[in-house]
Amino acid sequence: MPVNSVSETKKGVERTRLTLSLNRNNATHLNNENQRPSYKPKENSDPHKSSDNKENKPLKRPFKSVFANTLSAAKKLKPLSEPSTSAVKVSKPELVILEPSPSSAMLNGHHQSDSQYGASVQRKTPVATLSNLGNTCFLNSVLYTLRYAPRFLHNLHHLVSDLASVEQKLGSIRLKSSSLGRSAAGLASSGTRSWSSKDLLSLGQSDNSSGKSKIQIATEKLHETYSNLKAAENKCMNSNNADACPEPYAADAFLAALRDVNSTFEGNRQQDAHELLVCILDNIRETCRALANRAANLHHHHDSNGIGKQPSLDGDSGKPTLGNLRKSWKKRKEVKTTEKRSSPTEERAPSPPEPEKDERSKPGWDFVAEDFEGTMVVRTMCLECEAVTEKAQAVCELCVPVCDDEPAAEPFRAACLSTEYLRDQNKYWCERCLRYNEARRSVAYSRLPRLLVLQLKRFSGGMEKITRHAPTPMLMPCFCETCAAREPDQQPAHRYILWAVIMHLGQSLSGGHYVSYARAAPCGFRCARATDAASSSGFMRALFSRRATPAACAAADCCVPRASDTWLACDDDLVKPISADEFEDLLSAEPKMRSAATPYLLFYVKNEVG
Amino acid sequence: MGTTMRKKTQVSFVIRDEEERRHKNGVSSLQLDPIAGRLYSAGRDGIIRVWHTGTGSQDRYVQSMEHHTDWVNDIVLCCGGKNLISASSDTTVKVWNAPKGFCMSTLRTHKDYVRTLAYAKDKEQVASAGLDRAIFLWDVNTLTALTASNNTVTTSSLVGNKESIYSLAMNPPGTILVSGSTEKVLRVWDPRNCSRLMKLKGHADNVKALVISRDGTQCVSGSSDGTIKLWSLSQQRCVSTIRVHSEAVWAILATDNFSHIISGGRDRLVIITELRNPDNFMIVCEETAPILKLCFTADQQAVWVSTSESDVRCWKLPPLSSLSSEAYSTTNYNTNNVYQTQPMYNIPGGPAIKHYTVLNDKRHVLTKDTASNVALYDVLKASKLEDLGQVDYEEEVKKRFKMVYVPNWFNVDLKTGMLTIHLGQDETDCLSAWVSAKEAGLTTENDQKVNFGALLLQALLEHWNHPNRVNEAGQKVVGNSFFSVPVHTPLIFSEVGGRTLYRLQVGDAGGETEGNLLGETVPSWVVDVAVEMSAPKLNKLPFYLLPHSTCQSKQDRQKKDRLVANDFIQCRKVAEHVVEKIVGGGDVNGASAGSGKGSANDDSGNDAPEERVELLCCDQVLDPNMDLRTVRHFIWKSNVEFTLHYRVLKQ
Repeated sequence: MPVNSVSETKKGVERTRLTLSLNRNNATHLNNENQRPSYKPKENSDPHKSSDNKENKPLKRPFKSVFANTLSAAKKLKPLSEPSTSAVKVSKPELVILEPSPSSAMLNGHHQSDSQYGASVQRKTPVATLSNLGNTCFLNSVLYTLRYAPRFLHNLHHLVSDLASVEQKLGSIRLKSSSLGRSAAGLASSGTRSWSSKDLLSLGQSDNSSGKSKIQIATEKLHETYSNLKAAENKCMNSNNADACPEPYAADAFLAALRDVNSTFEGNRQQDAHELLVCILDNIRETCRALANRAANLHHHHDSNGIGKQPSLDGDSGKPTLGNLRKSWKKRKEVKTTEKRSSPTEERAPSPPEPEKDERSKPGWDFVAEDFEGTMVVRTMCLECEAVTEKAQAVCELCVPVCDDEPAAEPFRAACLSTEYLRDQNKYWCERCLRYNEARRSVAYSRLPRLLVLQLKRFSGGMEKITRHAPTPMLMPCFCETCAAREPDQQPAHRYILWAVIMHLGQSLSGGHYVSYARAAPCGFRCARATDAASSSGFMRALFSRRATPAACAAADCCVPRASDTWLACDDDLVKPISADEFEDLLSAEPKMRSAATPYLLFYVKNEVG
Repeated sequence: MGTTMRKKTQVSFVIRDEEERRHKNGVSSLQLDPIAGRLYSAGRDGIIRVWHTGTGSQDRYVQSMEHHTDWVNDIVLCCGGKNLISASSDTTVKVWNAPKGFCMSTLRTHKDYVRTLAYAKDKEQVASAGLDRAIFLWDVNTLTALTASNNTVTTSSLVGNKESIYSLAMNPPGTILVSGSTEKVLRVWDPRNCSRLMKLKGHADNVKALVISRDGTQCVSGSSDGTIKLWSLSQQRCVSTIRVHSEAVWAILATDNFSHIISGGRDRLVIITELRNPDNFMIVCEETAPILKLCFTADQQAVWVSTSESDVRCWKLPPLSSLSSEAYSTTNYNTNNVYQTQPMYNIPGGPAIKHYTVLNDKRHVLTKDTASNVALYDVLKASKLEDLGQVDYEEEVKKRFKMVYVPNWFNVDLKTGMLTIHLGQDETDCLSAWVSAKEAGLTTENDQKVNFGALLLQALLEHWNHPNRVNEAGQKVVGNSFFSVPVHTPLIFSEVGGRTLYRLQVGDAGGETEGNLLGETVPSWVVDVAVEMSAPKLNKLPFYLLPHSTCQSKQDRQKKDRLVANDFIQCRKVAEHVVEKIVGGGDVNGASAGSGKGSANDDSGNDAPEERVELLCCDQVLDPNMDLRTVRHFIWKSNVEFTLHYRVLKQ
């Protein structure tokens, strides 16, 4: 198989992969954490270093001609220049609420005339496209998907702008301190306890771009890609030619930066879209972490040297200082470590509280963790003493087997929540009974992320792809612990709405093509960093959230795609709107041939009910 | 066992007192012999003990019934107290002569832990079931008639179970059998023709306790879901669900007329409930640990209670009439009230060993038990060295740290609450620990080396009259020349990670039957070492020897000398080698510039080699008494390219 494993070859990004497979093979990995005693102590292999990942990597094929399904879908695609209002009539009412927002009506295309977007929607909406740089459909499909990920670009924008502003401040400190005859590094080292030399290095170099880490550059290039796409769209919007269409954009700068970070993506080989997604998210997470460290250092600098009070980076209140940030960052970390510890008690360590609003607006806030990470809880009960051992751990995307059974009402719930017995030759070492006993092990999720990514295991076992149809519900009930424990007749507290699908075309994992379908919906979300004085008022808050982002933060101007509520079929430089009905037809179709397009990555966004 | 591919055999033994008069672990099951006034208790220490139940505070211990090698999970007393049947996690069912306390036969039909037994008194029929999902029916009269020559038993089995069985019940006439399993359903059979009668659904978790009424029309089940359910077998439905416990229900006892049940479980409470009116219930007592088994006294006025701790206590039951009396139950007996706070009788158990640390010398083991007693054991001699009392365990472990590395040659197992030692699964494991006999305190002779595993095997099998046990001179060789192990030590041969093949006491190996059985069981590599006294293979340790950078000789000695030595040789030996083969050689004398006086070897013979040459590893000067594997383990800290340097101190 011509693919390197990301986790092995990743450079710079050291974070372990948190992908979790829930198939049988992996279950045995989990089981065997309790090895029978043997004379040569066997090393417990990381149960999640799953070999399945290797098996589950489709590679895309550069040709597009053979894919019957997309072709037929493409035939149905409406021309890009057609007003997207055509999609409005088919959008289902339950699909319109993207974010917990009281202004759902406005987000519904039916009420366009009331909307401030009215004018723009009447116009033809130009959509920027990405050109294929040679086997880069894996890249394009992921870039398209993330572009329409609710709030993702917004968060990315703030990350990059915070990065810039912190660097600027560090640069000015450096100037000041050198005027005092002390080097920044010297300042940094005085009165500090916890700085690593790496931090000092980055601190010292922060004001020239050559000192930037590869990871940071990759994140910045990603943002730049999206800014450029937006700029191209804006240009067309403002041009007099109503049919203006942006030229396909080549994301080569980002690809180059990505290759610097992770050599897996070097060469024009076919790559796994899922692996790329994981890599991008890891990269952003590392950038967040680096920024948080740097921001903390920056604050410490001021503290220990009395150069002056650090002006808050938060425009609105100035109250949450960087000192608080540091504390809360630490606190958050601690929560995580206690979580990962195996707690022998029946009482579970509490899952991390949703970070306060303040934290979200702080530089280096790890939005990847909050948006993409869930907490998986594995409980094991010895069937003799019936004591429960619990292990919690963060998981990024859930890996779902494409099962043979007829789909249940909640297709992914059964696959993700599992219970199995450890018995026969695979008994469980009970630390209380001090012996091997039978045990019951269950997997549940104490928290599921806001953006839930499901990877369908279509490539387990041999090279053959499992083309079996797997239902992809547009709307699914949440199966986090609170929701799963509800009575059958009760409404779950959250549910998940489909906002994107990456399809794989081709019949084997050795090649193929990726196409993404994303729901381009206006983001009904109000930036927490509004400079508005009225932001403290709940009433005004509600009022402003109605008006979405434009007035609130600059992110809207540069990278948040402004689009109407419609599905976009994104196939490299071919992006066409597609009605929800057409899209659902596409999803529900039983693949007729083995080369057919099959959903591979499913992207859902959480929606609080009520 | 007739298969050609036999699993590897493991040799194990238990370090314990000759007589263990107290349970050392939880007590899984109880049976009362009302006529003889004896109580039988099945211990998780693998021992069934017999107790006097008469009044008075004399020592109740009668005897131990020892033959199981793992938890005894259930026992039934049959044939009017003549025989006892036991089920164990060693996968066997054993038939005992109850009054005399010896094991009559062992049934090896089950393939996994045997978890539960049921007894039909009128038919003298016993059913056994366990984690292998099988239920076997045994005719007790056949079982007790088994002899060494006539030892084939035909059993009938009940099939259809999908999951591990944790509970069984039969009515006395043997017309109904019910099983409870992790399947969460009750399965009902007619044991007379082995036909399946029904499946009863309703529990949400494992079913660990079952009783059936004498006529076989009613059944009460206790589940890990915390509920007790009364089932009508004639109507095939659950009649009522009793929720008096807050946690899993593990033990149930019903009165003869099926009017009341007494139940216990994980919440440590013994509760008596009126079956027809579950609101009438009363907490009899609160135990100190989860309750595993309940057993009536002869007059049914009290219950014996066993728990996952080793004590067995007898608690007085409230008069049944008091339960239904409205006023009584509302005023005196609610969930906050406990009928009895003091047991009528107590059979105290002993502490179970719960923690152990194998010391670096791979010979001594420090343990801590449930009463926080710390003790020191000598595995090599299969005996306890010292009771340290209630001292700081961690501190004692630290205190005994020695910078010495010896390979692992045994494993410790605490599942029975006593110290069980498993020797290696094959020679490479078990015979890996060579040490200097002087270091081990076995002799004062300087150069003798001994192998821990071999010494111990020799001592464990020293009484075995093996035909090959003769030396060259035709004399009988007995054991090793240094020490013996206690003759009461239980010696166990078992499949690795699995079933017990044979258990005997070290001192009994001399018997003819025992000798024959040993001949069938003992693996050949053990015979080689323990009987034919062949020396185990030595462990060779490769290393490189280089001059230290501070004493570079002019002559180019940079080429790496790859040497091989026994892993336990001391650095002194390596220094000797350096003196003799490298430094002592004329070429070095001529080449060493600093002391090039040609002093030759005139006075060097008087100096110990370590005074002439010092050895270093990772720039650390080595103690000449340290052995090579210790240096590699603690200083080099790697298994590859083990390199030593030498520095000449004086020519």
